[in-house]
Order: sequence, then structure tokens, then C-alpha cells
Amino acid sequence: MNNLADHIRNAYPDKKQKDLIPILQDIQEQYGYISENHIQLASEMLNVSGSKIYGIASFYDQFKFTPKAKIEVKICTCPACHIMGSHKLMAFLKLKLNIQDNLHSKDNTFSIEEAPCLGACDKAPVIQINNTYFYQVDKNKTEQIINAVTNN
Amino acid sequence: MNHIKEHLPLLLMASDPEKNNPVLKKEIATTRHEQITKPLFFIATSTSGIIAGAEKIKHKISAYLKKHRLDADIIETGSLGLHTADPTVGIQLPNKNRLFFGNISENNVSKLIDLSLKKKIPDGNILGQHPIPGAKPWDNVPYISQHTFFKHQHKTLTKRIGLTSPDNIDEYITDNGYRAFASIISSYTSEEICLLIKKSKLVDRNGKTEPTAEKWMKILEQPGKPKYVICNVFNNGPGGLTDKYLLEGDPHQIIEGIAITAYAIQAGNAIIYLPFNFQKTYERINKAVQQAHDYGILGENILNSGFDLHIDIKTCPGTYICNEETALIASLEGKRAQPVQQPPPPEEQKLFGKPTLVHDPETLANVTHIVQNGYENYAKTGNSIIPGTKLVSVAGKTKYGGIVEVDTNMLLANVVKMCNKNINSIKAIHMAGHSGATLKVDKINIPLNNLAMKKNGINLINSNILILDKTNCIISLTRYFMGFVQKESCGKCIPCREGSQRIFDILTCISHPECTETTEQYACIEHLETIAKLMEETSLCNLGKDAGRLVLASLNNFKEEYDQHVFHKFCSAKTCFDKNTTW
Repeated sequence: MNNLADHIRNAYPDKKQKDLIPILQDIQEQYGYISENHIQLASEMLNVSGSKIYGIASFYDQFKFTPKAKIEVKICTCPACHIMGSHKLMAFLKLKLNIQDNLHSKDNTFSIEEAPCLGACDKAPVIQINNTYFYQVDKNKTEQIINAVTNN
Repeated sequence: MNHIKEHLPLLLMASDPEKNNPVLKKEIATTRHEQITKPLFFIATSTSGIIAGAEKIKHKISAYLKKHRLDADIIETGSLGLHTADPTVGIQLPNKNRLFFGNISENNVSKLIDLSLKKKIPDGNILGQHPIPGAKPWDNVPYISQHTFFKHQHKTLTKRIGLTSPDNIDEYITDNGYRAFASIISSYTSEEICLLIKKSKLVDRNGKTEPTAEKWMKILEQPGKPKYVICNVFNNGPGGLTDKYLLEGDPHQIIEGIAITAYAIQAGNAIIYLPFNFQKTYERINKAVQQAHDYGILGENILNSGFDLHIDIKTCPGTYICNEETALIASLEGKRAQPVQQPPPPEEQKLFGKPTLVHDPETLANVTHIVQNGYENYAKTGNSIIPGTKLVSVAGKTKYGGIVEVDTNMLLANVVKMCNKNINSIKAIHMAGHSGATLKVDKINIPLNNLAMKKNGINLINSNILILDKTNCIISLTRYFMGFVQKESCGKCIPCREGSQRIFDILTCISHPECTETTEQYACIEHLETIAKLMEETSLCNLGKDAGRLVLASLNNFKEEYDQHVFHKFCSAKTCFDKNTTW
């Protein structure tokens, strides 16, 4: 936490509100999520109330408030992936990984996320598992991929 | 070793840099890969290529070269535009035209290289050959420009993409790059540039129909300093990949556009604002900006003209609403990205209360093109009111898909035909994503410009053409778009926030397997129209307005499908009434 304070002091000497989003982005990048302590720290540094910071952070997709899962599954939900059946994949994966509404499995091994367009609309549907992409996937292919990932 | 940087003043300023300078001439030919001594491999590592496995192919090729001790270079490029053929590989042998191959898998890489190096063309996978000045053509290989997908395109902004390396500023400079910018900062005034753009009749590509020059002149008159130029890469929304394509394929073209625009309004700062999840785009544009700073094309006292320009790249933490200009500015100031009530603030009070100009990359690429090639020809291309070209992306149930550049008079129907020889299997076209409408396939003779599209209820912000066949349900698609709007709505105005939720619920009700109450559903349909009209008329920004219009178009154009769902519990696409999906 001290390192973080130093980092903010060095990288954002102005400490104005315009620096808030870059600061939150740095925290998200480094820790994988934004905790209450992080918000408090940012609040003290920028002299903006914590509730206001949380209000801003929770508005944006990039910021998460729970620790990252070990295996992050992202399903592209752009229109092209949708018409190729990405919503069915979503239902299938939730069932397969036993994930309810909060989109993290109980032991936080898996998380499922709807991704804004991943960028390969002509290879739909696309899923991303950590940093690997899989394209033109269907139920069977997804099951194989997930089994392979779980066994590793 | 390249010496392009040493010749920079000559290349940027001289009327004919190559004249009486054989050393430079050779240097240029080498940089442009026209005179080569060893084989070159070109791999399209744009986002779409990477997803399709371009990185793996690259490693496979370099492993092959190492194993066989071959001296060859691997060059990363943007994509040719034909995304259905990803990953693509280009092979150029000395004194031969370049060959392009598509749909390469890891298994056929070694065979491909083996045969190509023996000057035998492997079967299948070939897309065509690309002419190289002074090189010999391949026999019996069609030219890539004659490929069905490329034949009717009007490539101007995208003509270098897929053929050149976006990471190499030298290649851009030897292709007349930055000459336009260098000439305007040395011998034109800002007013003259505004006038030049006015004569070209350039119109913004962001869905509005305001002439670009008018916007510029308004800001040029403002006394406030500093002024800002913002390049908004958010423009497209999901499915619209054209901005990403331009930035990843030819970033220097956009940077030159930003630089010319900044000079025209006398702005010293520019910001490229792109979504956080565009990693590859960020990498490419960041490298390009650094190179331009390094070459003295950006920075202080550029080319001794006294003009300063700094470009910052910032990533937006998400949400599509940032496409709205006032929301974008709020998010850059570190606030929630909520649009401001109309009328918008005057030009002199935007980012940090300073004069600010927001443009999308496509408009900026047009600026570069106009200043490079003159306004006369530009004004004559395509539509007479909105001249030039338009980039669209094609996806869905299509044979060929990807990024298409056509003139602004090209009909949507012709683009669909370009990508599919047989259009009998197509049921409908959804144009322009969440800001557009679903159209029946016999009603798509609409030119691809914003004036004509507006008449059909389409706001050409997003330029995605989604092709639907009989396995796609219109209700399911409309429900999907409402879900999107619901998620993206900033929540400030009630019509958008509540309306999208209500429409989403109604559409869920008429397509849910457990919902059986027909009379209730019938009442729902009537509500649907009322709510959609209300959204269209009273929403604060375009997100809600376009969403309302989208629902109305879907109701009008596909009434029989709604009837089937409500009265017969029947979905001809077999998408709805399915328990195995998310509701």
C-alpha cells in the first residue's frame, strides 16, 4: 500500500480529479481489483470523498471490486457473436461451472464475464480464457476447452 | 540499416526527393520492399488475426526458418480486410510479386513455405498476388484486386493496410507520408486549411451531417487556450471494427490527420481516447506516436515552423456511452460519463472548460487523404453532398466478411452481394448495430451515406452490416440490442433507463418458454410501440433515441414474426422458447 501511495505521488504530481481514472486503472492493473483500502487511499491523496470515488469507479466496466478468479472466461457478446449463439454458450458455461448470478464460482477458480466486442466478428463466436482466444466455438468445443483447462 | 531519418527534410519538403539522388532512390525502394534480396513473410497481426491464431503462425514460420537456416524476414502488418480468411500470410520472393494466402493453420505452414520457396504455388488457401513495381508476376495466379471481395471496393483510406507495416514510420514516409503535414505547416495558414477542407465538402463520419470545416472554423475563432483535439476511438460500438482497423493498420495516417486538424484550429494538445480492452490497437498507436515524436514530426517547434503539438494516448475504462461527446469529456475529466442536457456547451467550454474538437479516426483519415491528394477529386467521389468513401464491416451469416471501403453512393445491397454470390438464403440485414435498424432483404437499396440512411431510420455511427439468415430470430436480436442499451445506459434520463428495461422485459415475455398468457402478451405489444416512441422522442442522447427507433423499425418490418411469437408461440428460427439459454 505504501508503494502505491509513492507511485501515485510520483506519477500524478498534480493530484487533481482528472488523475482519478488513471490512478484507478493503475490499481486495477496491479492488484486485479479495487478494494476499500485502495479507495480510501485515493480519497486521501486526491481529497475527494470515498463515496464519490466509488460512484465513479462503479460506473465503468474496467473496474472490479472482487479479487480476480484463477481462470477468467470471457464470452464475446457483440451482435455477430450473439447471432452465432454466444448467449447459449453463456447458459451452458454457467451450468457447467456451477456459477450463479455473481459470475464467480464459489472457490473463485472460475469467473465468467460478458466481454464487449473482442474484435473478431467474422470468426464468431469467440471466447477468451485468460490470455488465449478460441474462435468459432460451439458447446462441444467449449466443453473440451474447459475440461483441458480444469485438468491443467 | 535504414537512413530514412537522415533524409527526412528532403523527403518531407523537396518537390521530387528522388531526383538526382540514386542513393536515396535505392533506400526508398528497399524500405518499401520493392528491391529485396531475401524472402519476406508478411503476417497480419491485427486483433482479428491474433484471435484467429496469427501469433502462433508467426512462431511457426520463425521456427521453420531457424530449423532450415533460411535468411528471411518476418514483417507484421495490418489485415487486408478479408477477416473471414484470417490468419493471412503474404510471401514475397526477390523479383517476384507478393502472394497472399488465407486461412492458414499451424499444420500447413511448413508445406506452404516449402512449396513457395521452390516457386511452386500450393493448392488451396491462395487469395491472389499483389503487384510489386519491377517484379515479375506469377503465372496463373489472379490479382488480389480482382478477388470478388475486393473487386468493387474503392480503397483510398485503406489502400496501404495489410500491405505495409504499421510499426514502421519509414515506410509511411517513403509513401509520401507526412509530406502533406510538412507542407501545410510551412506554407499555409490555419484559415487556408479550413477553406481547403470546406471545398472538399468533407462531412464527419460520426453519424452527424455537419460539415467538418464549419466545426473547425468555429473553434479556430475561439480565443481560449490551450485548445484540444480528441480522436474518439469509441465511435463504433460493438461489432463496428472500422476504427480499430484504421488505427491498427495505418496509425501514421491517423496521426497525420490529427496533426493537420490541430494545426488548422491552432491546438497544441491532442488526445487519442480508446477503450481499455483494445490492447493491440494501443500497442500500435503508442509505438507510432513515439516514432513520430522521435522523428520530430510531433513535439515542439515541429520542422522549425514554430508549431507545437503533443499527442497523449489515454484509455477509457469502458462503457459505450463515452461515444457521446459530452460524456466522453466528462470521463476525461475524471467524472462519471454522463451526457449533458442539450443544448451542448458551446465550443469554448468543453474539456477542462477549453475549446475542444472531437473527431473519429475515419474523419481524420479523410483529412489526411484530402490534404495529400487535393480536394477536387475528393469532392467528385461518391455522393454529391457527402463525398468520399465509407468504411463498413460485414459479419454474420456471410461467405466473405471483414472491412469494406466503398464510395458513399454504393448501395447496401451491392455490398451484401459482394460478400455473398447467392443472397437467397439471407433473411434480413441488420445495419449499424444498436444505432440502426433491421431491414428486410428486399429493402436494402440504400446508399451507404448518413443522409440516405437517416431517411430509413438508421444513424450511421456504428457501421456494421450484420447478415441474418433463417436461423436468426428478429425478436431475439431486438431483445439483445435492448439488453445492450439497458446495460450501457448511464441512467441519467428516465426514457432510456426505464424504457430499455421495460422493452427488454416485454420481449422476454413474448419469447420465454414459460410465459403463456396470450392476452397479456398482446397488450405488451401495444405498450412496446408506445414506449419505443417515447424513447425516441424524449431521450437525452442518441443512445436512447436510436434504441427507440430500432424497436419501431423491427416492429414495422417484421410484424408477422411478432404475431407468430404472440399468437402461435412459434419461432421460425427456433431460437426463442428454448430452456437452454440465458433469460
